[in-house]
Amino acid sequence: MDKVKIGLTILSIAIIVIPLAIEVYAYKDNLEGIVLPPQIQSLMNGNNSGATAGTQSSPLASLPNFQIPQSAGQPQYDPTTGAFSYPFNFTNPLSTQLSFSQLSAQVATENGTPIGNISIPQAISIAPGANSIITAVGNLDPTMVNQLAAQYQNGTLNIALNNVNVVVGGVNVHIDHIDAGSISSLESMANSTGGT
Amino acid sequence: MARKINWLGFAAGIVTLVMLVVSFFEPWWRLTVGQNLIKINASPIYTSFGIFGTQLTVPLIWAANLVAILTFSACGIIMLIYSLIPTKPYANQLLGFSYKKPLYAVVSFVALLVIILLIAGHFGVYIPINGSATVTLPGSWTSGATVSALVSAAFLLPFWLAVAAAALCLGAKLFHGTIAKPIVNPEAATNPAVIAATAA
Repeated sequence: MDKVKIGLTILSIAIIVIPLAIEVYAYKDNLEGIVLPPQIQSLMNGNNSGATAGTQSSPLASLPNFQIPQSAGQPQYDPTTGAFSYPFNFTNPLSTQLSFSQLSAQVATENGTPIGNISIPQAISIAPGANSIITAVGNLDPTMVNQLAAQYQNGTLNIALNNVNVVVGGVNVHIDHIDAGSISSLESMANSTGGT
Repeated sequence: MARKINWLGFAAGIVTLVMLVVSFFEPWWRLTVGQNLIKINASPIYTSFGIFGTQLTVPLIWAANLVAILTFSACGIIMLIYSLIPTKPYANQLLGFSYKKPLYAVVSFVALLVIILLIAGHFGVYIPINGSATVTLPGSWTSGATVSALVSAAFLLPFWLAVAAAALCLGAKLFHGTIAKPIVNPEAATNPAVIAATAA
C-alpha cells in the first residue's frame, strides 16, 4: 500500500516537473522566450519591413506583409454632377479573409468647410494575401470645389476627413477627424471632365 | 461472488479520457473578436491565440498544457483501474489520486478565466465569459479613435465533459464508501478485537 502511495506521489511530481524542465532546457539560452515567443515580441515591438516610416505605431504596421494602400489611378471628378471616385490598391496582410463592410467619411477643408462625402458602394471581401482595388466614391459639391480651386489656384489645399467610419473584419472604427493631406491639383480636378 | 465494480468510477475514467481526446480538437472556452480577427482558444489541454489569422502559442502555456494532458491521462487510467478493483487495500490510494483532479481542473480553469476577465475589465475592456457583447476599447489605447467590436465567448463541449467527469469522480468517491464497505462476519461483529481492527 505504501509502495502504491509512493509510486503515485512520484508520478504526480514527474508529471509536473518533467514538461517544465524540458521547456526550460529548450529555452535555456533565451528564458524570456518561454513567456514571450518571437512572434509576440515582434507584434509588441511593431517590427515591420514592409511598412514605411511613420506607420510603426499602427497595430496594422506590425504585420509582416502590411503595405500602405497605393493609388490605383487618378481621382475622377465630374463637375456637372459632383460625382467623385478614387481607386486605391489594398493588399490584405492577414492570414484570414478581410471584409470591409463600411467605409465612409465627410471630406472637408482644413477649416472644417464640408466639400462632400465619400464611401465604398458595397462590401468588399479580400482573400488572405490578395490584392484588391477599392474604389471610394462620393459626391463633392461642385460650387465648393470651384470656389476652393479659385481660392487655392496658386497653392495647395489641405483636406481633412471628418466622421470617418470603417467596419473591417467586424471591427467598427470611428475617427472624428483625420488630416488626409494636400491636394495640389484641385484646379485640374475641377476642370476635369472625366466621369466615374 | 460477483466481482465488485465502481460503475461511477468506471464512467468517470471513460468520460475523463473522452474529454481529453475531444479537447485536442476543440478548446474548453473560445473567444472571438469581430470576424475571427482575434480568436483565443483556452483549455488546459491546448491553448492558442489567433491574432489576425496567425496562430501563436506561448511555450510556458504549452508546457502547462502538457502537464494537464499527462495529469488527465494518468487520472483517467488510474480511475479505470480503481473502478475494476475497488475493494483492494490500495484502491483508496488510487481513488484519492484520481478523483480530485478533474474537479480542481474545472474550478481553477473557471477561476483563472474570471480573474483574467476582471483584470481586463479593470482596464476598461469588458469581455463576457459566456455570450456576446459589443466591446469598446478605451480611447487611450486607440489614439482617440473609437474602436468597437462584437466579442463572442462560449464554453464548448470539452468543458462540459470535464464538468461531467468531475461530477462522476465525486460520485465515485461517495459510492466508494458503499462498495468498499468491509463485509463483517456476524460472529466477528461481536468480537471486540475484530471491531477494533476494522475501525483502525
